[in-house]
Amino acid sequence: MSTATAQAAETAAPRQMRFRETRRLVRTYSRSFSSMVGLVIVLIFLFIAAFGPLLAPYPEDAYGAVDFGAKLLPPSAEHWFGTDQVGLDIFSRVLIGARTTLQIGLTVTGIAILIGVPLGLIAGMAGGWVAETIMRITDIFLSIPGLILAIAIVGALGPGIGNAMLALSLVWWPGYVRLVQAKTLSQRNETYVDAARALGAGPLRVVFVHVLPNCLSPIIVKASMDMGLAILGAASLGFLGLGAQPPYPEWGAMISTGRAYLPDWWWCSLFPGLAIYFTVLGFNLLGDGLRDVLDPRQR
Amino acid sequence: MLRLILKRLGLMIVMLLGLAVITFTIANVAPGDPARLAAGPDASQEMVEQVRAERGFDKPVPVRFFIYLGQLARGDLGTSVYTGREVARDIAQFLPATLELVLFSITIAVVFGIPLGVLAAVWQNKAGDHGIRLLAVSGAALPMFWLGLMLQWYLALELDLFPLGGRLGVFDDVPPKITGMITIDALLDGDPGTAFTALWHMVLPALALSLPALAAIIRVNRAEMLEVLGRDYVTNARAQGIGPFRIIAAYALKNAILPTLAMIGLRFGWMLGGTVLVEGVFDFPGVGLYAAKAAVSSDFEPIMAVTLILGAAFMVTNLLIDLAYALLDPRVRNQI
Amino acid sequence: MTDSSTPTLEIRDFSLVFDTFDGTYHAIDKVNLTLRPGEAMGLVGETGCGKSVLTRAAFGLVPTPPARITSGSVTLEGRELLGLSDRALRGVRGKDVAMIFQDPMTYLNPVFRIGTQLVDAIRAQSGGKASKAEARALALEMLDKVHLPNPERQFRSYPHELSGGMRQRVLIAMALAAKPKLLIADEPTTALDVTIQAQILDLMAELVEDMGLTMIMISHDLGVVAQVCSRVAVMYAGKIVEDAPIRQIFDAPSHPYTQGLLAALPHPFKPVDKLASIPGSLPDLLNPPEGCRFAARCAKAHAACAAPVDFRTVGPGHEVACTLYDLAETKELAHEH
Repeated sequence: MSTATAQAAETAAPRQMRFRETRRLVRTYSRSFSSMVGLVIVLIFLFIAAFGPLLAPYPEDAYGAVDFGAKLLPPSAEHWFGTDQVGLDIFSRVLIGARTTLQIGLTVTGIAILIGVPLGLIAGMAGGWVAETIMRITDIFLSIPGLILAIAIVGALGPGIGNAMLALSLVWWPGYVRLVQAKTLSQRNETYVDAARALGAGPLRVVFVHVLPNCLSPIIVKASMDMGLAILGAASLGFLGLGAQPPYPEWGAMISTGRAYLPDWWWCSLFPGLAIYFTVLGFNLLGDGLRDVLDPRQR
Repeated sequence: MLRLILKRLGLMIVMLLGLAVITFTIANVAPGDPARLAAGPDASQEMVEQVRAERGFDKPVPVRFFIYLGQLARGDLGTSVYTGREVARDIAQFLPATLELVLFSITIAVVFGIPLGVLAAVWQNKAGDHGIRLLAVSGAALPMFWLGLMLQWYLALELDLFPLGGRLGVFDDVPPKITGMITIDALLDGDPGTAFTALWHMVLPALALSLPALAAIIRVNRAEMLEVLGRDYVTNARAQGIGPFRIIAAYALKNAILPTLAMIGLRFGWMLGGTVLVEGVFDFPGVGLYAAKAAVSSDFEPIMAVTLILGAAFMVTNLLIDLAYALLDPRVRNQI
Repeated sequence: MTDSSTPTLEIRDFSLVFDTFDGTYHAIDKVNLTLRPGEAMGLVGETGCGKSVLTRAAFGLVPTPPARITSGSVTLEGRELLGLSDRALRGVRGKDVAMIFQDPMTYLNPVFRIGTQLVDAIRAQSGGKASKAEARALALEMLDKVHLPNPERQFRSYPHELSGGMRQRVLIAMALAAKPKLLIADEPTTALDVTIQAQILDLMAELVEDMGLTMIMISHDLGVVAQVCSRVAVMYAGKIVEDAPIRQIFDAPSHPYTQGLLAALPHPFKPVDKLASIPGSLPDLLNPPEGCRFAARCAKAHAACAAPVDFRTVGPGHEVACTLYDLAETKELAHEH
C-alpha cells in the first residue's frame, strides 16, 4: 500500500466512524416517541417564531391597534382564540408572541452560557483560591430562589422586557459554572489528558482540545432544558407586570391582562397559557431526548 | 453530628454575608440614585436628601455596606415608601402564611411524588409508567400562575368546590396567634373546624405551587429507583428470596431517596420563589404577595428584604436536608 | 433424603438469547449440565462466555426482556424450574439455591446494618417462619461458622465498615444460613487481594468438606477452581466445550480451548519461558457460526468444524465437544501442543 492511500484510509476511517455514530444517535433519538413529540413541537414553534407575522390573520393587532366593536368575542371561525378587551385577535397575538418568546429564551440561555461556561472552565482548570472564590460566589447565587433574585434585579432596574431578560440571565449562569466545573475536573484527571500534558500540551490546548468538546453534550442538553425554563421565567415576570408591558404581545403579560376577564371571558387567559405550556413542554422533551442520546449517564 | 451542624452553620453565616453583598450590590449598582430608590419615585427632592442622610447614602460604598450590615444585624430591614411601615414588621406578619402554604405544598409533592416515582420505576415502560411520566413532563412545563388561574376559574368559580382565595372565609374567626400558621394555631386552640377551613383555602394555591415540584420529585425518584433496582445488592436480596415489596419499599427506596432528598430541598426553595406568582392569584396574604406588590410599585426595600429572608429560609432548608442525608446514609454519617 | 441417583441440578438443552437493538444475541446455546449431590463443580471460561448468565437465568435472575429463554429445562432435585412463577422461584432462591457473587463491595446494601440484612435474608429463606430472635441467633451462628472475628460487633456494623474479605464472609454466611441444596459461587474471590483470596478459598473448601455442600463455582481461573472443586466444565462463547474431573483437565486437557486456557496458566513447577495467549477474540454472537464456535481461533480447525459438534466421551466422566476425536489421524493432532 502506498503512503498516500494509507493516509487517505486513516482520515477516511474516523470520518466514516463519526458518520456511523451520528446515524446511530439519530436512530436512537427517533426511536423515542416523546423525544419526537418534543422535536416536532419545537420545530413548529420555530416556524411560527420565524413566520408569525405572515401567518397571523390580523398582524396589525399585535401592537396596540384597537377595535372596540369586536371586543371580547368568543372563539369562532374568524377569531380562532377569540378577541380581548380592546377587540384584538388573540390567535394573531399568540402567533406573533412566539418570536418574543424565542428571543427571550435564546438571550437568557445565551448570556448564561457566555458567563457560566468560561467561569466553570477557569474554576475547573485553575483550582486553588481562584476556583474556591468562583465556586463560593456560584453557591451563593444558587442559594437564592432564582425568581426572587430576578424580581429584585428588575425591581432595581425598572420593569420592561429588556430588563427582565437581563435579570433572568444574571440569575441563570451559576448552573453552567457547576456543570462545566465538575466536568472539567473529571476530564482533567483522565489519563489521556495526563498523556497529552506529558507530551507538552499547554493548558489552553488541554481546554480547547480535550475538555471543552467533552463538556459540549451536557451543555447542549442543559441549554435545551433552560430554553423552556427561561421562557417560563420571562412569562412569570410578564405576568407580574415586571416584564413585557401590555399591549406588547407577550404570553405572560397577556395572561395577566386576561385574568381580569375570568370567568366569563376565559379565552383571554386560556390560550396564551396553553402556548407557554406546549412550548416549554417541547423544549423539555427535546432536552430529555438529547440527554438520553448524548449524555445517557447524566440525569 | 454536632461537628457537622456547627460546620454547616459556620458556612451558612458566610453564605448569608454573601447574600447581603448581592442585595447590597443590586441596590447600589442600579441606575440612578439609591436614595431616590429608597425614598420612592414620588418623593420630593428634600425627602430624597433626608433619606440620603438618614441611611448614609452620602458615604463611601464600603462604609455604606457596613451600615447596611449593622442595620441587618439589628433586624432593621428598612421602610416601605408606600405604607411607611417597617419592612421587618410586615415580613413577620406575612411570613407564617407563606411558610404554612409552602410546607403544605411540599408535603403534597413528597407524599404523591415519591410513590409515583417508585411506581413508574417498577412499571418501567408499561402504561402506568407512561401516564406518570406524562404527569411529570406536564408539571414541569405548566406556568404555575396560569395553572393557579385555571384551577381557580374551573374549581372555584365554575364548580364552586373551593374558596376563591384568602386564608379563611370572611366570617370565620381567626384563632389566637401563636405560630401565625392558622391550621396549627386553630388546632392548638382546640378548633379543628377552623383548621380544616384554613387547609381547604390552601388546596388550590398549594396544588398550583406543588405541581412543578411533584414533577421534579417523580423524575428524580423514578430515575434513582431504576438505577438502584439494577444494583448488585438488589440482585443479592432477590437471590436470598426477599419479597418484592420489601426490596422496593426498603432495600431500594432507602438508597434512592437520598438524591431525591436533594431535589426536595431545591424545590422547597423554588416554591418559596413561586409564592410570588401564586399568592397573588389567590389573594393569599403572604410574603410572596407582599413582594409582588412591592415589585410592581418599585418599593425597593421590601423587595430586598424578601430576597434576603427567602434566601435565608432556603439556606436553612438546605442545612436541614443535609442533616437528613447524614441521618439516612451511614457512610456520610461516619465521614463527619 | 433424596435418592442419590436424582441429580441436584440438571440443566438440559438450555438456550438463551438477548433481544438487542442490533439483533438477536445468542448468549447461551444448548447447554447441558448435571450436578450430583455433594459435588463441587467449577464452571470456567473467559469473561463474557455466558457462565454467569447461565447460572442466573436458570433461577430467574436475568430480566426478561431483554433476555429470552428459547429452549431447555432446569430441574432442581427433579423439579422443573423454568416456567415457575416469580413467587415460586423466590421460594426456590435463597432457600434451595443460594448464591454468592463476585464483588462483595457491591452486594451488601450500603444503608442497612449487616445484622438487619442477615436477619431479613434468613427470615425470607425460612418463608417468614423464623422469628426475629431465631433469625438473629442463626445469623450469629453462621457468622461464627465463616470465621468472622467478633460477630456480635459486626452484626451492628454497616457494610462500609468491613473489609472486602469480611464482607465476602458475611455474604457466604447469608447464603449458607438456609442450608441450601445448591450454592452458586460466582467468581467469589476475583475482587479480593491474593492473600484474602486464599483465605476465602480455604473457607469454601472447608465448607464443602464439612457441610457436604453441593456447589457450582464460576471462575475464569482454572487454578482457583482446582482448589475447591472436583469437576470442571469449560465454557466458550455460550457453549460447554469440555466437562471432566479436575485431574483429567490438568492431565489430559482435550479441547483445544481448554489446552489454551491451561497454557495461559503459570505453572508452579515448570520454568516459564512464555505464557501462551489465545489469538483472536470471541465470535460475533449476533451471527454465531453454526459449527464449533472456537473454530475461528483454533489452530487445529479443519473442515468438519463447520458443522454442529456433539460431545464425545474421551475418558471416565470426561466429555468433549470437538471433532478432533472422531478420526484416527486427528486424534494424534489433538494432543499436540
